[in-house]
Amino acid sequence: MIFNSYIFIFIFLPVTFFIYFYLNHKRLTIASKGFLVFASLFFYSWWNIVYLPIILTSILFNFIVGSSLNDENKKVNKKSLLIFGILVNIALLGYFKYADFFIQNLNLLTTSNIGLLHLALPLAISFFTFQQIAYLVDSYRRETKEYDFLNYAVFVTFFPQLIAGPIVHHKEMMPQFFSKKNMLKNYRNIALGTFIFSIGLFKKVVIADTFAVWATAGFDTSETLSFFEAWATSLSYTFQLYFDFSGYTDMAIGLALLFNIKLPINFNSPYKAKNIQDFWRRWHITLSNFLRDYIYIPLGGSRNGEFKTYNNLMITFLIGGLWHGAGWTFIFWGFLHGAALVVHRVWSLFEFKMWSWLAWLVTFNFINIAWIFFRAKEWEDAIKILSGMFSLDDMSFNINYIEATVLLIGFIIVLFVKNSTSYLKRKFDFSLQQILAFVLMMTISILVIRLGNSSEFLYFNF
Amino acid sequence: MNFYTLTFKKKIILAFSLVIFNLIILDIGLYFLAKNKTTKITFIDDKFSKIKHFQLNNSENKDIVFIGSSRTYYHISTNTFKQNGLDIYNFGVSGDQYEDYPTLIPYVNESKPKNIVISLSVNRLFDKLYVGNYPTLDEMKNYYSVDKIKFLSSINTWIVNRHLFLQYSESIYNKIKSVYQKFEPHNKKYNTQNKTNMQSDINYTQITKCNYFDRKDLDNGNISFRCENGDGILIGNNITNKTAKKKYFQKFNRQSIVYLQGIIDAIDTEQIKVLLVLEPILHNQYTYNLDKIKKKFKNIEIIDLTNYKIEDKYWADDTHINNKGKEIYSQHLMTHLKKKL
Repeated sequence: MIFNSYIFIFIFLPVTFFIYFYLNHKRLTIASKGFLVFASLFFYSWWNIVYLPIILTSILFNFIVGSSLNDENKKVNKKSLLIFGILVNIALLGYFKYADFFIQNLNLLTTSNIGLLHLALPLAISFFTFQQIAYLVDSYRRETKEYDFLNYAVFVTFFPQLIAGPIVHHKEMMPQFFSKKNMLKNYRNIALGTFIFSIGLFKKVVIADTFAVWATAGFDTSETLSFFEAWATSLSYTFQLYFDFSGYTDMAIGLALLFNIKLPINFNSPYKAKNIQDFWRRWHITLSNFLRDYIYIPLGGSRNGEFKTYNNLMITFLIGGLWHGAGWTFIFWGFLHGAALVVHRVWSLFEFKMWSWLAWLVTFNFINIAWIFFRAKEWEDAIKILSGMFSLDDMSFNINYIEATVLLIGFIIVLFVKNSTSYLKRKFDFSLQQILAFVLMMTISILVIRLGNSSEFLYFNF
Repeated sequence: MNFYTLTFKKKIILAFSLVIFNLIILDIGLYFLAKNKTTKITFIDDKFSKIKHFQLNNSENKDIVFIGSSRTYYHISTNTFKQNGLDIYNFGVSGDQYEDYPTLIPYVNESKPKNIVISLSVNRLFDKLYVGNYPTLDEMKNYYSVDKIKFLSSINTWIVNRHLFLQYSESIYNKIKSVYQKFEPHNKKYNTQNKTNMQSDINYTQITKCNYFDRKDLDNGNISFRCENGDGILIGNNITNKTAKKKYFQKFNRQSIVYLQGIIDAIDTEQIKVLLVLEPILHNQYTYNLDKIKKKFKNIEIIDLTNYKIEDKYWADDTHINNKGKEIYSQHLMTHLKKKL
């Protein structure tokens, strides 16, 4: 089930919402949590019930390891247990996500002919694996603890964030589920949640899916691209990815608010960034934090001299690239970002300065070009787009005028419009303008869902 | 009531009510728009529109009324039959299957035609019963008597279709697409082709041999025309299925047979002759036992044209024949029908 489908909006969400609060109203707290887990697993299984045992096994395993790490009386080597827990998680992810990639490369290197496994990637495996690795590390560091399986299951499966994040921490989520105040319907949160959900829905179905049509045409259909077509294609994907993923996050934040749960902000106008470090502080913030806290810092961070820092940065981003997908184009994308961060660090070290507008231009174009490798199914696709972008052979303006106008509007939105999550930080009163905006966005989105048929979010497969 | 004193709860109710209100207003607008789209010489791809077109054309006592899907709509040439002295009406509707016919039958029966020809592909006798996109109460009645699960599914579809936007979403999507295409720059390759087509519009009246009121450029390169007399015409030759995969049909689908028999019985009770035409298939890929089919439907004539060879150049796509194929097929069908009528 996806957020932008009629079955979710009109049936699953209202039914789950009312039953959850009805049970809480009747003071059946355990039943309400149990129901939330059941509903979330139902939501998860809607795609393919085959995935269900995998997520359940993963939850059970991490709960047992986490409980053992928390148990002060247990005489086990906690560090070894943590390493074992992390390795099992990585092995699970590696088996389902990277086995074929590994075999392909092994066949290529050794001229062997090992058959591919063709495993279906369990939905959201990258997200729930990272989230649970973070839980194990936090448990080891004594930053959190959990002895109740139901609570732990709620933490992992809570449907607004189950599929594509934000990656949440046990210590920031569980106090919210325990709060008695949060067990009662809060109409302010419901209003804010539905408002933010409508913004996310609009971003996804109206904006991102429109850009998707042009990006797909350029990447997958056209054999050659003129200068303008190539730029329009790459920019379309750059905007598609942003509106798609930030739209998803807005919907997740809005949905969680309906249940009085505040999810962390995941986007903060990333295309306004004026350097690559700034970009990673604004883009997929919870993943950036994860990479920083659980890979970069444990590797040594910036504590062991400049060269080691560059090395750590590069390793972190190569892993980040690989996390997004089992392919060399993803690894190369990670390499580009790692390299850009190294360059930025050197640049800052020498205290070089650049005009603000030029810094934005360089940063945005770097991000835009790097996304080409992220999106390309094959190297040839990336080369096709890049050749068009940097060749002046065909300068004919042959892109649809509506497409050109919408791209321009896309720039205006990402550069000048306030971030949707800013409503979380300020006073929200569901003013008349906000109600009208909600009505407009919801109505258009409901209609567009039907016209375009609901499409899945880009980040589901990462 | 002062807006500024409203509680969050009341504001939420107001916001959702306004969304529902918008959707209702849209439906009312669509209802009137769709109503105006059907006249004596215009219709849309929708069975209700075709029924209205049929009624507005005073189609009483026709020699033959052809009922079918897009393959009837595009394959039957009203003019070819007319030139041979047969007064017919093409009741083919794009997207319709025989599951939709219980809705049309009462209107056709009421007009007292001499013959009704139902066309379908032979595979539909062996395939499962579908629930049409827009089931009506008449169809739901038939589903109920044949397959309870399909009946339940049709209730769900029926409820969803109360929102007219869902019914017309495909047409709206196509409209948006055609508006978008108007903003293509002139130096786009396919746009140049379109332009050429537009310039030679006048020739299409001769090619289609009908007064058409609507033209649509399809994604596969074909052009679809809607004619005032109820026919549809496809121009182009864009088949993708060059080699046929053989298919063997042995076991009838019981529900499909019972459902179809229900339709035939509804015509038979009005003492109107019913004929069943098994439509031609590209590259003649089906194998089945015709005698068994004839035994299943004892009280009607069956004309089997499944293996009627139509050259590739007369096919517009893998399932429909083009304007030239339409004339050849109609001529051929007529010779068969004349023997049976």
